[in-house]
Amino acid sequence: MSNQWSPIYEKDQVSQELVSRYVSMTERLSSNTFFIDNKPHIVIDQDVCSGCERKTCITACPAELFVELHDSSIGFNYEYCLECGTCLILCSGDGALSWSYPKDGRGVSYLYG
Amino acid sequence: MNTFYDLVVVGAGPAGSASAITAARAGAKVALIERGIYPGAKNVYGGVMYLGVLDKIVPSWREEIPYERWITKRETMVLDNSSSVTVTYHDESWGEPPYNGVTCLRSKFDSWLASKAQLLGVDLITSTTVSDIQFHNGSVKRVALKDTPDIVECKSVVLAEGALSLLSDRLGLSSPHKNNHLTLGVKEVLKLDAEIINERFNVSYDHGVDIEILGGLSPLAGGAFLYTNKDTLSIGVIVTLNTLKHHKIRPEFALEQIKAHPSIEPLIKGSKRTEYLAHLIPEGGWKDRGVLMRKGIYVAGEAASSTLAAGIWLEGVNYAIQMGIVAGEQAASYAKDENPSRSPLEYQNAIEGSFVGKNLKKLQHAPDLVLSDFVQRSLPLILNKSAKNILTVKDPLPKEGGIKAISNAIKDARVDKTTVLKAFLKTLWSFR
Repeated sequence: MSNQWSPIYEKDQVSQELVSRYVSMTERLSSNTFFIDNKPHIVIDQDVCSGCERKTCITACPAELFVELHDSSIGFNYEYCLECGTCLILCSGDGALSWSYPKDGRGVSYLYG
Repeated sequence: MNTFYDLVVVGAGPAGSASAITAARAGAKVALIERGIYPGAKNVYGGVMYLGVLDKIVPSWREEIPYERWITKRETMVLDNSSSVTVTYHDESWGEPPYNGVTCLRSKFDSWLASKAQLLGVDLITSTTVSDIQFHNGSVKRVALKDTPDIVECKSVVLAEGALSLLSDRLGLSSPHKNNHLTLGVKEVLKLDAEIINERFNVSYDHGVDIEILGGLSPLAGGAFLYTNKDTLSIGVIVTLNTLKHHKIRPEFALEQIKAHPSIEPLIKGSKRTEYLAHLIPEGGWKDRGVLMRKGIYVAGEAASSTLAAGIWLEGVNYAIQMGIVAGEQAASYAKDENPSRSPLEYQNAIEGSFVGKNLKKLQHAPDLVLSDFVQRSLPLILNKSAKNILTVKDPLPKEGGIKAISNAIKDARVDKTTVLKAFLKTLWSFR
């Protein structure tokens, strides 16, 4: 194992060893505590997102909440959001994201911050 | 709920609670509003707290804080593909009062500090999100709460809302360049028996280790950390949003990459993930502090880029507390003034005169240096190759000698010597 360590990216591909160690985001988030709000705290504007070329949110969101759908619109879940704000800062589409913090203590609740 | 206060503090993190404590001591009626269910529920940090600054507001903190471990070992580890160079400073006296660094869990630490404010009569209001700050005749009048008709009237506000400063942004207080210097920290907390941690990290009882890691993240720019709690390890990577955007690499891939490095993997072996966390970090420092005070609003903590991200020094909680203390003092006195004609620069000058302003100013070029291509890419290569050239015994070949070994390493790293010299001088200048 120890000799096989290689950089994250080799020749523009994620190294195969890294892929083999991959755990699903569902598993990664499974021990977190969430109190899910009944109303999304982030709302996306599909009209802007469909036309977005970069779609940075898909790879940058550490909870993998954004996916590209067949019609190049964005599928999005707010429920397991870690509330970091990366999508808001990196989004290049003007007004594509309406971002606010959840109310009533909802959202993620960290025990080990 | 009481609806009139001298001071409303937004956010019960270290800056918010420190300002509430200070203002309450000065006689102000204070509400401390926190959007999490408890203080610390929304907070993440990546390392070690240096809490000497608490002597001013909670002198008994050393006996009271809900700590994990006192840090007695500080390591800096520089990674290359299958090797690493580590510098360790071990100081057993750091494990005794007055101590140096300490690891804590924010859910416990932030709740403890907020409870100190409560003991002074501060109203701690949790599970409540402030959505707006409203003005009347040019002065702060009230704060509005999200999705409710409720308002809280107040004479001043301390905005200690954290790194993603939505309110400060909306009020135009944040630096326009802040977003360019944001990094994303993703962290995992891994469960491991306390005895195994003690043996594996060679520490005893409640002593712990903080390992700061450079290299191994290419092409992303940033760093990583691993530190010991009582019976958990915190491991994380910090990557710049700019490189994350440019290279389209998932942040948790970078974390897995660090976890799998042969110098790291044995340290975390057999542990079990108990939480996965993410948070932004403002690393712009003094340049990105923004407008710190306006019309009764005082910005403190990460909302004002209070973090020191200077490679060997990675501090934040202490700076947030100090800013909170000054903000609390000034907000309380502002609220008492019948005719407030104070200069908006008074707060900034007080911060500038404290260790926060002095350190952030002195080291204002260090964050850029740490994230430069030389430090991120070339330095790990040069250090590791130099060590390899010097320490590998190549009998029957004669030894090449130290200077030759290093100069060959520089050649291998494909860096010319002028670049190395320039970087060396820049380092001296940035850390002078």
